Amino acid sequence: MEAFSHLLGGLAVALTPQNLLYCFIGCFWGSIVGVLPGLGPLAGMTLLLPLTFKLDPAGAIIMLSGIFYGAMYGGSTTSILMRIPGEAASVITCIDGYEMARKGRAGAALTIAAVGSFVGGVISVIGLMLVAPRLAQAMLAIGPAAEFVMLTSALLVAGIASSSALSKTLVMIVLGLLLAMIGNDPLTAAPRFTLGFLQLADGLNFAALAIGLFGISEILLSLKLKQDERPRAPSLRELLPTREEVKQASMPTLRGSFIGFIFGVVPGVGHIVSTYASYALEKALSKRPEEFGKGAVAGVAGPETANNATTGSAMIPLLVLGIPAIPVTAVLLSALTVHGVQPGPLLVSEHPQIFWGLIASMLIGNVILVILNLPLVSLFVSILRTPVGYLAPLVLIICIVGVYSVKGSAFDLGVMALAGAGGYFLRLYGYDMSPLLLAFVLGDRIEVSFRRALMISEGDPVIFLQGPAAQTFLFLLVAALAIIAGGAFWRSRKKSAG
Amino acid sequence: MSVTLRNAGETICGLALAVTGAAFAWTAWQLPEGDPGVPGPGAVPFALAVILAGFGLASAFRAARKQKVLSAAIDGNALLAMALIAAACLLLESAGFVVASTLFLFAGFRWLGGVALLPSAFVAMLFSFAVHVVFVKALGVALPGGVLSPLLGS
Repeated sequence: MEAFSHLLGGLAVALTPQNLLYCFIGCFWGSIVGVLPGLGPLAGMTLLLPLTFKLDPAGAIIMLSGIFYGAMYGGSTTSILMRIPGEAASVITCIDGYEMARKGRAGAALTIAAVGSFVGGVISVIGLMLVAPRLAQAMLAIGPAAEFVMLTSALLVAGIASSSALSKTLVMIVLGLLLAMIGNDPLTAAPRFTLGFLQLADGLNFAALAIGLFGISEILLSLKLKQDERPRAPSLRELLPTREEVKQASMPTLRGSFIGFIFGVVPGVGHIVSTYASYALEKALSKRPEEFGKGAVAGVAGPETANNATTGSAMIPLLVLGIPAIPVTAVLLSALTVHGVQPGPLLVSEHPQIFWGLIASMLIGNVILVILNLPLVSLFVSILRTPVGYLAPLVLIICIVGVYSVKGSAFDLGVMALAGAGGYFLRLYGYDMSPLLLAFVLGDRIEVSFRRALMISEGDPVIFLQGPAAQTFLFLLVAALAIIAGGAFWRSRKKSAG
Repeated sequence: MSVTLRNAGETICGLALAVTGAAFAWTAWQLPEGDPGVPGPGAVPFALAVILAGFGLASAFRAARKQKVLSAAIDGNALLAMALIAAACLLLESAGFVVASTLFLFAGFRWLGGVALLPSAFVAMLFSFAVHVVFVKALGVALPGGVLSPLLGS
């Protein structure tokens, strides 16, 4: 009950006309940067960061977090309509969302994604409010060996969920890990693979790599699309999912909410892995797994819900421990620091108006986003009516501006262009880029946890099998692989019998 | 064993990955590898690079041997777009955003979209100025002014 009385206090902060306006601006701008191919929450938040310096701390964090979850909403739109993820967490939505659009169910896919995002967002915020501090402490208490096992398991799940052949997926995972190791070694600061470029000391720019691999390569691939391959804009009636689609989406939405919330707590992993985990789970549980990759409703509902459900729990390490779990929360951290507010264990007691005001504004923001995005679905769908030859140059220039605006670096533009060309050729020959990006995001932590664990054990690899946390993650991995393998075996037997 | 043109592309892709792996392995080899108790900065990348080179070679070999041809052909428009992106990136800081963007969009509309001369030029200029105004004036993003700096006031 104490949490709800604090929430009422937070609502008093969030519902002031000024903060309501900031929340709306954040959600609206977030939706736009999420919808615009090539841009994402990181670029969107970075663009507005200088403006928030003029606001009070509560207003600043309310507006910036509005961009974060607004982009999560908007990111699904380009994933579904154009197979371009607005940001990394929308990558998996491309698979079945885009296939639904090609079948003329774009409107239904967008509605399912929006409602799923709303449900996931609200459940996540309630979770943040009720159980967040304890859960965050439990997850952050795990040692490096257990962390390595957990992250490696996440990559294996990604391999299973990938649409390409397993051997090609493994190649992409290894390549992603290697790309993550470009820059100064996190433990010894020794430069690695920098080729003498100072710009590479901090590693490859994530936005440049992601926009190149997904945005640019997708546009390059789409240039050969014939006119009749573009789905038509659905009528108002078609925006509504059918009763069957609602039925197919309901359980994945609920499961996605919990998966997203749990994964969102884990620093660095959250919003991306949760979508893969949700997709893999839905595929494993589905009675018709062969539909995945061809427009399965559960393949949209689960990951989209999970991705938004991480927005609340991803705030936990930042607000409770002062640790930015993902790049976007690092932007929030910098915004708060500029205002002299240090996130951490004392934030709740010293700045309750910020902590509870943010939680309340996230609840309000999720309502704003459903109201804002559903009526605009037809507008988003109409993007597809624009011929690719007209749209491609416009999208490409937005990608260039998006990457340049992050750090003002022409070097990053070169990274983006190379990643775009590389992504085009690799995708042309059946290599999926999603495992590469996931490995890139996790690579740094996988290597550090691996090396730290070996230092602790003095080189004894048995450490990766010891301790309750590592054993739990190994058990979960084996169980997940067994369920998936068992399901595949059962389906093949059923197919050969029938 | 017959290698078709399309499989040749997939084979080259595998070989390129193998070469990338070999290059990473060679560079990682120069770094301190440490020992099992204290792995150095070169240890993990070297192991991964060797795996990548091996997987790349295996992919190339499999692609060269397989009978089924992957339906993929490099599109001329994609190569043209890559060249335009490279040109825009190179021009951005020297010529400025508005000039680089206008030239990029004009060429893109004309050659990728087949749009007529005047509409291409008009939309390219209008869009570039609009993006510049929104990002520089409204959002405070520092886009390079280049040769138009005196006119744009940046």
